Amino acid sequence: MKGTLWLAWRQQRTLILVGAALLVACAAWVAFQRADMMAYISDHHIDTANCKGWDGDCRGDAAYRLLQDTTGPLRALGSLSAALPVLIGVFWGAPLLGRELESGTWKLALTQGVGIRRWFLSRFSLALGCALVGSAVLAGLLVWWWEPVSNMLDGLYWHDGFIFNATGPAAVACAVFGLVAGTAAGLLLRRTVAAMGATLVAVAGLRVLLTAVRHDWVSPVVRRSQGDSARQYIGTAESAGDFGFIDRSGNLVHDAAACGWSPGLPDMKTCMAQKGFTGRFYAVYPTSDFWVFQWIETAIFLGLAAVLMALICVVLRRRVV
Amino acid sequence: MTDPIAATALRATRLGRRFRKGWALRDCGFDLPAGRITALVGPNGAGKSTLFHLATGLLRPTEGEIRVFGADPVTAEARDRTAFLSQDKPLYTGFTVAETLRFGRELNRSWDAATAERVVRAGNIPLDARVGTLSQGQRTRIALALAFAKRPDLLLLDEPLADLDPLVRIEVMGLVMAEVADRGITVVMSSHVLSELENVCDHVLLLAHGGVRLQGDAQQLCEDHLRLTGLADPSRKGGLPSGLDGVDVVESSVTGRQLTALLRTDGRPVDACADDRWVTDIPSLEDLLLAYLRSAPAATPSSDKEAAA
Repeated sequence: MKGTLWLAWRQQRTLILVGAALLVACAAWVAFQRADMMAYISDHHIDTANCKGWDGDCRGDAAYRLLQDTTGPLRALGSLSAALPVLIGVFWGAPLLGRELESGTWKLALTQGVGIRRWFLSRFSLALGCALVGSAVLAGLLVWWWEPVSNMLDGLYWHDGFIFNATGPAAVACAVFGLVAGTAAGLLLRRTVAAMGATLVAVAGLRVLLTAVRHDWVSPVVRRSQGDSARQYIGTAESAGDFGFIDRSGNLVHDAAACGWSPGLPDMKTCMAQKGFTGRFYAVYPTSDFWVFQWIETAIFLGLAAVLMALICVVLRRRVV
Repeated sequence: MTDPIAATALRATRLGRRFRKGWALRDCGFDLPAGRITALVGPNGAGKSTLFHLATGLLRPTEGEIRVFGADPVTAEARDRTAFLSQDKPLYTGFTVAETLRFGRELNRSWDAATAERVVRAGNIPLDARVGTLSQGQRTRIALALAFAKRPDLLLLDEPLADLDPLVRIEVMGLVMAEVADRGITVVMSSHVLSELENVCDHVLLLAHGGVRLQGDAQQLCEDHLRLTGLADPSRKGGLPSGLDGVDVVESSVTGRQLTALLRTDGRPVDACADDRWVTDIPSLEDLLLAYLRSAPAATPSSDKEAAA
């Protein structure tokens, strides 16, 4: 390696080597666990393809044992993958400029023969490449392992935080955002530890915020059923928590307790007739909404990263001593 | 390469830099000749470090401009010709000495590895030692090795002698002087140790309150001034002799009945000083700089103080 890239490698090699070692260990563990899981599935003839949803057609002890054994480790890997953007931001982004500014070594680097642009681009590109590879590999490992038992019985579903926040393009975009947020915090605060704290709050805070408001951006699909006939099973969809009845003019009555049952009350059929309800409904986010949510959050993470990157460039151009 | 003797190494024109607290430098103009060793002097907060940062492109001016051999400090041309030793002498503490030298080689177009290694070896510093484990003097030597191996035409040293013990100071100054003698490079050096500057510097730039207070050839400046001592004249304000009209009194003070004053005569004879009661001589550079530093807060504060007493 030459020039500023050598400097970037020399300064980040501990992070890169430790990260690579952890990633390899993770991959080995996942490969072993997944092989174990696949052997169990074939030994017990579990038809995972027909097993999707809460009402999956494979309800036997073996299938529940399978999920009992795999959900815990999958959650652990999901937690690691979901936390990766925060870890990258705190331990890679914040010191990227913060430590240089704090120790004054940026003055040494920038008074050699290279300009500020090359110096910054080398170190940032190396970190960005590692963040992309690391987050994509971890998300890929999780999907590879989870796929055979995905959206199955009482296992992990696409909308669980352990899966949604840990896989897909949004997980990689969040890692990019984490790195850029950490870099910007280091540049603006000029203290590594303070930048680490700010990055932790910013990245974790944005994740929590997005999880809280995620469902407001997409309207759920309403599933209707006639009279008191059995409703369609929820399957692999995510409940929007909206249940109720349909009146004669076809309006939705968002009150699941309108015809509740307790001793002394008429049964549901009588109650519905009395109140003039013609059917029931419930709202869900279908499985395909995974990609809608994913692309919305990918756009938010990358958009914010672009704004922060522009800020970094402006501040670097002005060169604040 | 241009002839280093005839050129101006560092030129500032109406240079100013404002921070949130206010102006650190304002309306500075100077020409520092190439091939000379300039002492950059001024009280703390006068703007010396700001000036170095502007000259190296680490900071952009708020107004005016500064040029290194005619080039903007942020250009590759200026960067290649300038080496800077910052006051805090930053080095990567986790690097070994060898890696620090490799850092210099990787980040510079021209690199004189032999010079770097010579400077390091002369200090008996092992190449595989971590920089973080070295003493302050050894780190200064490493920083100088980086600066020299770059083969700069302009060497900027911000307080190179601070935090060094007297023996190391002599050693470091020896290193710088050997390099200057070798290559005839231009040096700008700031220091609070005026006696050390006197021995090595032949040009002066004195800053006060973000402006240029004094600049010029050291010898010429000394000859342009007169130090006046004698019995204070009780009949006159400040005790100064009469006949000093048109002469700039840089500083005057009375101790007991003894008056000491520094006058800027610009070589003209001063009538009053012909009087036997007064002893005149040419000040040393240290005396001259001290007088200007003491009088820096206002135009002539010493005489005001004296009048009030």
